[in-house]
Amino acid sequence: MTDTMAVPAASLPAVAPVSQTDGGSYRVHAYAFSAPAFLLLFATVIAPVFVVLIVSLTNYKLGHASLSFIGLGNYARLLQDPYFWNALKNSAIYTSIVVPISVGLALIIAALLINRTRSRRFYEVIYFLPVTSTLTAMSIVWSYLLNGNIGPLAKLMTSLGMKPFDFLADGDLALIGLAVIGIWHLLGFNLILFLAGFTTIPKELMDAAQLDGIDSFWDRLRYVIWPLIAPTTIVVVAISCIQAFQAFDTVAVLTNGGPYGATEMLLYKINQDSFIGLKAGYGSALTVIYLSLIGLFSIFQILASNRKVHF
Amino acid sequence: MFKLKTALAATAAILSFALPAWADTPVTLKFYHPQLPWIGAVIESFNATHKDVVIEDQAPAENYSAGDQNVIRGLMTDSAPDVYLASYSGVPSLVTILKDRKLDVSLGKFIQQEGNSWVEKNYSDALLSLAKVGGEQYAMPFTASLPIVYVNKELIEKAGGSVDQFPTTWDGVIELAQKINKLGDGNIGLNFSVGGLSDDWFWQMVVMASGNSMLNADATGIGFDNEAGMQALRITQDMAVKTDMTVYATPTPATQQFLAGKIGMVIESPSEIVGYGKAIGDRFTMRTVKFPLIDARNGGLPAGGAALMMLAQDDKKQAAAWEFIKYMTSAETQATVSKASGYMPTNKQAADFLKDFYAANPNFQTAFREMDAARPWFAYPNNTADEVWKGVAPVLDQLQRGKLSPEDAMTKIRDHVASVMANK
Repeated sequence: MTDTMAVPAASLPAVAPVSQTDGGSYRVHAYAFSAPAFLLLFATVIAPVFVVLIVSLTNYKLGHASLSFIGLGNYARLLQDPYFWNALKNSAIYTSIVVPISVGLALIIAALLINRTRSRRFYEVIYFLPVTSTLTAMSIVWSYLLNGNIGPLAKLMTSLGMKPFDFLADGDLALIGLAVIGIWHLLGFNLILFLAGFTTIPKELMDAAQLDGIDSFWDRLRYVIWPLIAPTTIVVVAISCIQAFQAFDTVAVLTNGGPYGATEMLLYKINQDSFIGLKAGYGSALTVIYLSLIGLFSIFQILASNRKVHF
Repeated sequence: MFKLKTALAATAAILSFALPAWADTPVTLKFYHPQLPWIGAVIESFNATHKDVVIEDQAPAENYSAGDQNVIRGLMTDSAPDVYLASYSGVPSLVTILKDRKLDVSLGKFIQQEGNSWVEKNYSDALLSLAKVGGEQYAMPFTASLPIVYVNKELIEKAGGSVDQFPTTWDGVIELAQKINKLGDGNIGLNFSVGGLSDDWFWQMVVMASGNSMLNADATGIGFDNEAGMQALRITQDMAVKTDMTVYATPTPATQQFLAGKIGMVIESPSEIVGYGKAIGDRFTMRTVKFPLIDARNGGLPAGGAALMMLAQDDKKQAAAWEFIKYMTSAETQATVSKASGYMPTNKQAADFLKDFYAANPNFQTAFREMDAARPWFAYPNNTADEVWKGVAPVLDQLQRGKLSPEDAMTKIRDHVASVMANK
C-alpha cells in the first residue's frame, strides 16, 4: 500500500494500474466474484458428469437402493450391442444431412438479406419463428403435413401424377423426414448467427469488391463474404452438429425410433435404456460415449477457431 | 418492491391460516396420475364430500411411462406422491423397486379390514388379479379396457358391410377392408400396425387372440411357438399385405386418417370413445365393434387400464389413502368415470348405474361384451418388456410390409426373445 501512496495523485492515470501488492486482493476479488458461477457450474454440470461416469461402471437399475461395480462391463456390452451401432449410425447420417443443409441455406439466405433494408426484419422474424416453437407440438403438425395419405405434400405429389412419399412410414425415408424437420427448426437460428457475423464485415470491403467488379451475388458470396465470416461459420457448424446430435423430440413423438429401428438415434436410445428399461448403469455408459462425441465437436471448434485466418 | 411486499403479505396470510389449525387439519394426500381430461372433476367431488382428507392433485404426467419415471425419481429423493395411478403394465416393475427400497405397501390388510362380503359385493377376482404382483394385492383397479375396433359406419356400409353384422374372423375383416379400398377417393380399409407402438400392447392382442401366452411357462422363450402362433403371424401379415395397408411406426398417422374419415377400421382402447367422438363431431358416425379373436374358443385379449397404488408410509396417511382409493373404486365414481371416458368400470355394482346409459350408447358396451376373453396384461420378468419389444417390433414391421415370411418372422422372434430371457 505504501508504494501507491507515494505516487503523486496527479500522475495517476484514469484507471489505476494494479500494483503488485494490490494484486493479491484483486485476485481474491476475482475468485470471489466467479465463485458462485463456478460452484453452480460444478454442482449442476461437472458433478453430475462424474456421477454418470461412476454409475456407468455399475449395474445400477434406476430406483433400486443397491448397486455393484462391474468395471468396464457396460462398455464391453455396448460394443456388442447392434442397437447401439445402429443408433450411432443413424445419428451420424442425420447430422450429415442436417448440418450442411441448415448451415449452407442459412448462409445463402443471410447473404440475400444483408442488403435488404425494409423487409429484412420481416424475413428475420419469419425464419426465426420455428426456433421459438415447441418442437414436440410442431412434430404433430409435421406428422400431418408428411402423412402419405391425407397430408398436403402427398396430395400435391398425387396431383402431379407422382406416387406420394410417406416419409414417416417408409424405413428408407423416415430419417430424411426427421432431417427435414430438423433443418426447418435449425435454419432460423443459424441465420441469426450469420447475420450477426455479417456485422463484422467492414462496409468498405464490400464497396471495394463492387468497385473491383464483383457484381454477381454468387461471386460476392464466394470471394468476400464466405472467407470473412469463416470464424462465424465454425461456430455455426459446431453448434449445429451438437444440436443435430441432440435430436430427440421428433423421434419420440413421430417414430418411436421406427420403422424397424431406422430412426433410432443416440439420445433416444439413452432415454429408452435408462428410463424405460431402467438400466441406469448401461444408459450411463451410453451417455459417456454421447458426451465424448459432443466434446469432440467442441474441441474441433476450439482448434479450428485458433487457427489463424488469413485474408 | 410493491409486488414483493404483496407476495410476502399473502404468504404470511396463508401461513397464519394454516399454522394454528395444524392439530386438526385434514390429512393432505398428494395424488399423481397421467393426463386424463376427466379426472379433475372426480377429485373435486371427493374433496367436496370428504372433510378429513384433502387430495392435492399434482400436475399430471404426460403418459404412464413418464409418470412411472417421476415416481421412481420421487422415491429416490423422498418426494414421491402418496397415491399413484399406475398402468397395469407398470405396477410389477414399480413394486420390484418399492420392495428393494423397503417401501412396498400391500393393500391386503386394508381389504381384510373391510371384510370378504364387501370385496365380493364390489370387485370381481378377475379384475383384482390385474393389479396383483406375486399373488399380493399392490393396487386397486381403477380403469379397465379391452381392445375394440373403431369403425367408420358410413364407409363400412358403402362397402356393402354392416356394423351390426361385423365379421368375427380376421379373414372377414380383411375382405371388408379390401372392399373399402375399392371405394377409391383415398379411402383405406384398415390400419393395424402391430409393431407400431412403443410397447407390445397390439402384439399381445394378436398373440392372446390366438390362445397363446407371450412367454412359455418357465419364461425361457416365447409361448407361441406352435401352429396357433404361426396362424397369428400369418394373419398379421395378411391384414397388411392383402389390404395394401401402410405400416406405421406410431399410431398417430392412422388416428389422424381415421378421424378425417379416411380409414374404415382401427384398433384402440375404449378409453378413446369420448375423445374420438368429440374430434369427429358429425363428420361421420363412429361405432365400435368387438375385436375378432383368432381362436374363438381359447383366444383372449389383454386387459389394459390403470390401478391406484398406495405409496404413503405413515399410518394416518395410509388410512386416508385407503379412504380415497375406496371412493375412487366405488360404484358411483366408477359409473362417472366410465361415462366420461369410455373405460369399463372396475366395480361390479356400477353396472346398475350404467344400465340406461349403455342402452342409449352402444359404443360403450362393446368392451363389456368381450369380458369373457379378458386376460391379464402380460408382465415380462425383470422388467425386460422393453428389451423384448425392441427386437420384436422391427420383425413385425417387416412381416407386415411383406419383406419377411411368417416362418422367418417366427425364427427371428423366437431367437431374440430366448436371448433376452437367457440374459435377464
